[in-house]
Amino acid sequence: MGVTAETVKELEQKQEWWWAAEKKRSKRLDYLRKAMWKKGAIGGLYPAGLYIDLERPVLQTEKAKELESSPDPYVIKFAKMLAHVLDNKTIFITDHSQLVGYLGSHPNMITWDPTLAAILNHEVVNDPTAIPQPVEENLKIISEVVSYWGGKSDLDKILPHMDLDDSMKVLSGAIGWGVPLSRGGYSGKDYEYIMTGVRAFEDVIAELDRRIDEADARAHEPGATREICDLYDKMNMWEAMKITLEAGIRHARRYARLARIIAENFETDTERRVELLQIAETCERVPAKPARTLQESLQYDLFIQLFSRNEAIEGAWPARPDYYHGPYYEQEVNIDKTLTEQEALDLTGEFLIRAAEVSQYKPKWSREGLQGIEGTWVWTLGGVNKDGSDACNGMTIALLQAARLVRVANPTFAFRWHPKVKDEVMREIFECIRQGLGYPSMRNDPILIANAMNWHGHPIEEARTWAHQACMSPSPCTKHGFQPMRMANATANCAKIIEYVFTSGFDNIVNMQIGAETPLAEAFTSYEQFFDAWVTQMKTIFSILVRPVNRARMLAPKMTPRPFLSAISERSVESGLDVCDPSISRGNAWITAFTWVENADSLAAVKKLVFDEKKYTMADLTGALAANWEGKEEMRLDFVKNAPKWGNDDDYVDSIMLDCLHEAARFSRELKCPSGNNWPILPENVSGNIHYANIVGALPNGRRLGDALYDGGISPGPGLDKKGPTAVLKSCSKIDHISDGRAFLLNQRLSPIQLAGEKGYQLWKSYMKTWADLGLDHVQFNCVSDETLRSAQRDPEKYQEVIVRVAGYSAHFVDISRKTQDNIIQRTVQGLA
Amino acid sequence: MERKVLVTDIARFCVNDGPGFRTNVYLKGCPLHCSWCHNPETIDPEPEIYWKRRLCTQCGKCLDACPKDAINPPVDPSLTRSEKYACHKIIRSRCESCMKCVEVCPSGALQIVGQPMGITEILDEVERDRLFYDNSGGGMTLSGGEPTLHVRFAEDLLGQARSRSIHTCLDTNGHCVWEDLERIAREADIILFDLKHLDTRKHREQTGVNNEIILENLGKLSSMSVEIWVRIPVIPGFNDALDYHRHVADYLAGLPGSIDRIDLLAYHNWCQDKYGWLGRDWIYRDVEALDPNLLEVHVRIYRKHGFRATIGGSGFEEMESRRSL
Repeated sequence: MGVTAETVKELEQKQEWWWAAEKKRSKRLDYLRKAMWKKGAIGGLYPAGLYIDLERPVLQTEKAKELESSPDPYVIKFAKMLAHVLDNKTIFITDHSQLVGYLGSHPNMITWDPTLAAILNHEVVNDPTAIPQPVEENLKIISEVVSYWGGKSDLDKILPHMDLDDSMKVLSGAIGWGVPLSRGGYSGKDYEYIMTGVRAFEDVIAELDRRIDEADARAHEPGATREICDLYDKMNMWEAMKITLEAGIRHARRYARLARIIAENFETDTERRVELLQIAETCERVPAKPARTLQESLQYDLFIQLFSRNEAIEGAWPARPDYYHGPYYEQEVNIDKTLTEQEALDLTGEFLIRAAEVSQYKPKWSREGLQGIEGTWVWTLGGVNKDGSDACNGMTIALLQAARLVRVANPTFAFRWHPKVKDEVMREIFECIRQGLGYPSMRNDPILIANAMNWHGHPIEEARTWAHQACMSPSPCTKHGFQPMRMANATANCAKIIEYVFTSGFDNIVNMQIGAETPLAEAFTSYEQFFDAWVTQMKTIFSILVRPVNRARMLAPKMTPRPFLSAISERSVESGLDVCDPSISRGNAWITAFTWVENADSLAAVKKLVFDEKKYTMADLTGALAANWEGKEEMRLDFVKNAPKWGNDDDYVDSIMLDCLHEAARFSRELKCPSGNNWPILPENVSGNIHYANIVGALPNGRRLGDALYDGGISPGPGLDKKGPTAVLKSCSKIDHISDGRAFLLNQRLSPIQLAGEKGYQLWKSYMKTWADLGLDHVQFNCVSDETLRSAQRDPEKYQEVIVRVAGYSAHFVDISRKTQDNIIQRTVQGLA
Repeated sequence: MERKVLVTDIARFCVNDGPGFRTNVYLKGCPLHCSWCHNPETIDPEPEIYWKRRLCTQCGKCLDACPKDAINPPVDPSLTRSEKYACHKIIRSRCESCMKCVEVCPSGALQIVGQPMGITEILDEVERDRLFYDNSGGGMTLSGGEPTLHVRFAEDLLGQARSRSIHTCLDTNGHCVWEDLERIAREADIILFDLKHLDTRKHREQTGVNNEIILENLGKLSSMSVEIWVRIPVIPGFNDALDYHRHVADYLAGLPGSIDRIDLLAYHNWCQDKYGWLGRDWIYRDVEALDPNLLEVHVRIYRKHGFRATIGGSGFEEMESRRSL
């Protein structure tokens, strides 16, 4: 065993974290990790071996056909369709696993829901790689399904009720992405209702029965008020909720039966037989009744997540696993001692794997925008309890440790930092970052709680329950606080704002008028006029994106209901209204602002070179941009090198960034959602910077059509932050992270040399303390790896900020000759310098 | 008029030159000419021109702008971008540093090294990272070149930093008049004292000067109440023998006052390109960087003598113990 331990240490020294993890994790975790199919698409295509699952579409379609003649209202039909899938889909139990449940019929299958959008279904027909064998036969099945759902899918039903002009602009793909669907986006959950151990499905069913009985009695009393008439809809809704919950319980019991059958008839290993019987007992218990153990709690959570994905495509996975599973961990590991730390770690690691393998077929723009991952599954750790005390517990640490053992790219973690977080937790976080996971990202809890109260009026206790609804946006997990559906199409490709100032709103890529018809750019005689046009374009683009969402939020409850999500939400169980109904929602919406920083850098370049220094005229610049800088390389370099850039602690451009944010924030309070709440912006990118490379034209920051955009949020352009990380933080701290927007993503690169050893931890902790003092709400770290440095060698322009530092000497990596670079890379990899 | 000196760089987020996060201010001009110098641009007290040949597009604008005919005519850029190309853009014997070529260079290949800066301007820049200093015990490190070459300026800069409550380190080679060093040292919180070699002949061979003044100054400094970190650049074949370090440890232990910490800094040749940009050559061109791990044995010698000692001089080493003090 001594030999093995030595090897792990050696591997860690060489920073070969994957191989070290392989040696450190238990045999069970190792098997489960390797048995997992990674689902993320690369460059929009699914990797070899993954196939579209036809079982679900066939089940849904056969049930839909059967129900055609039924007198049931739509919501009940929909619930029955959902139950039909859960009752009949293929189930399996992976060897060595202790948690069960998967969306598809086989572990390598990507599920496809044909009921959402005809445009998605057509992508399935044309998918070049993922149609299962035998292709011809399956294409026939696919085309039957596709033709059945044509005109019947959610989007097909919703679109005719939208403004045609807005719809065309949104669907052009130029200014935003996503569609306004209540079954295709990011669902928050009322975890405070369903995950605290107080109640489970049977309790809710009893509550629903009671409400149906009461309503039934009242509905047939003398009278015909609006209230009485509404009860008929409510009773249907309650009935539909009940159908989904009962189907969930039956589905779990199918697993219990399967586990028992294997244990009693086939399993020869006695230990495994005990585990199978444990699985059976677990699935008989949850989700029907509240969990009693960590295994039950995790299994319960997993079922809820899978049922929710049975009902909708979920691009995110809002969760606070340490907060909701922590009490079970504490009870079993620390109080009752019925579970060892190692056993708990195995369960936690498997929980991550079960999440990582979930997959749903998504449109190409989404696959491209989310390179290599299934969705933005950012799980929230840490934070405070409702009374403000530290919420970290044993499960927080178990999750951070398990993440390093299983090393999945999705889910990732984001940690709610606050001043009371203990050093031992900070060290676990630091280990994840040092070991190159790229997560957790760090969130500033006091700032974000204040932010939630400021923008959406959450009371403090509610605000303190927040989890990430998608990658970045904090949304509480309470009855009134949670947002049932973030409709993804309020996602703005903000570089278009500045682009349209030069084209009077005409989009040359998709050849249509999308923006406002602002005056010809050549005619501007002052920066103020120019900036006014920018404000007009910003308001126009945001409005085009927000209107369909507002409209869809009003249509969703009737046209595209969510009976399961409603059934696990207190406000719906109580009211009998669909969970998306604006009348019971706080409407905590936000506009995701992709490609935002290009605006500040472009405005600054125009202000300095055109209006301050008068080196060029607006006509020169408009011409150069129209020509995509062709034949204007010297001028382009002037705009790149001689105009101030965001991220260098330079007030000239930083104040322009603030002007832009203040204008957006002002407008956010004018844009209202159907619940009457604000639409703040949230700058971040996912991989949109690559997706939009060929969609955004030339810009005054020197960017050409086809160049990747900045990597996002308020991160400076790659290679443009020449004064190092402290200057970046200083620039970002000029933004008020409470009132200037909903949240602001910041990427930072750190060198593993700086992070090595105890001194690395002390450095990081001092850095984090300053980050917190400066009031930033987010930061995530990419460890500079040998891979980063190799990329810097190939593409120096994008990596100009990578700095090599040793005593008395610092140099920009890209300035150094090849041979020296190689030498530094060698050191970086080995962590020796 | 405000006094100004030439500054080659103000580098923020430095983590190996004194405690915590630091901003290093590099002044131009040095009385020593160490043959391994990793900041060769700081030696000459006059402004110089970098020519970064990889950025040069060979557009020829500098040739047209130069009044002294001191520019080599354009050649194929792929040629000058190859690692082997040795010729410099500027014919130094004719150049009078009028900087006209830099002004017209569109690609940023020609750059001025050494910008005149005043104390307020420097400190305003330094002060931008105040919060980082406060959270890490960091501050400003005055480096070079040799800051003591600019006695008044260095003294005032450190003094004014102190009055702005900025922690300061003075990074010096110790080669100056004692009275000057004393005056400057009084204004600094920590002296980072470079020790190249105890043998004056070897010292002269590799740095151009004898070491008597330096050693004398180190002795006197140690008697002052100022904190001293001795920094030893470990150069292959020059001062890397273990016996030599035993000798140094004895020597430092025998000083009249105490030394607070010893940092061993492994030689590296990562400054190779700077020499190329300046159009200079150096004898260490082909000497590989020293693996810092090889200094583990050396550092133990100092620790055995009871010194706090590090490899690399991290400002975050022993941070917990510093904080608890």
